[in-house]
Amino acid sequence: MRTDILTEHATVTYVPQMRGKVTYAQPATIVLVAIAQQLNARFPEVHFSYEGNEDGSISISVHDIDFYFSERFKSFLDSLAESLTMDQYMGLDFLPAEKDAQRLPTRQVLVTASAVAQPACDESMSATCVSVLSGSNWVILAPKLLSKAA
Amino acid sequence: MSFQEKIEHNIQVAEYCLESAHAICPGVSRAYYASYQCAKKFLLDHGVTEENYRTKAAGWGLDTSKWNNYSPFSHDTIWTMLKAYLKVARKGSGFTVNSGETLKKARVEADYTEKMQSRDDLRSYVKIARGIIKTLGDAYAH
Repeated sequence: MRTDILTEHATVTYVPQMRGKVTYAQPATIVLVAIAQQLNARFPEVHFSYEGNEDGSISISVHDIDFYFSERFKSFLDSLAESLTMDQYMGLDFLPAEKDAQRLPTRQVLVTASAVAQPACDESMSATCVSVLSGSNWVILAPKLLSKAA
Repeated sequence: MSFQEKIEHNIQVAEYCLESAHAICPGVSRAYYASYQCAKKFLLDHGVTEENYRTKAAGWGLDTSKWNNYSPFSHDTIWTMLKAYLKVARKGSGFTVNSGETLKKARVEADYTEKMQSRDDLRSYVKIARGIIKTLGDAYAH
């Protein structure tokens, strides 16, 4: 994945069960978080929810069906498609989920525990893919961002 | 009858079902098939045939070695190939394919289970099907 689609690191609020743990993220999670950061930064008015699937794929639900078929979301996906490998792209699902919109908190990116609780990456990856507990939120530093912060 | 006509007929039937008291599940089924036919037409128009679909898929970056159960133009084959094509052709729009999967799942529930769908569900699914038809229609032009 091209790292230049990553923006400045953003706070990502995880579900409460993940609090109190320091976890290492696998590459798929880094991709997920990078995308989550982008979505949150570019479309703060839109609700998204995220889920890691057992097969390693990632599902992102878009809780605004009009936005889902809008030109600006299409443009975002066009640029994303160019940034991802075919494997990453095929494992990424964007789904319309309009009817659950009211269940989500406003202006908050919610990443489910299952997206994080996947097999840990190896040691070489763990040096650059560490997630850090900050206050009540989890902050994920993607590789490029970690080097910036260092 | 052309695919284009069938697509229009199916989506119109789905919309008609919105007004009916007892045809919600059939409407979900028709909404899915409108999108499925649209996806199939798109691939046919881009040179995919029953004979060359594996070659085409490989050319679009897909690993077809595990496609033992993928027959040409099966539902899984179509959505998988469409997603790969849209990426390779730099037309993005992976969401079109994934919303097709959403409709497929809804259609299976509507046709093969006793689960009842609501009118609001059908309204969403018709909107999704209309979105797929429009997005793929736009992809021809670019």
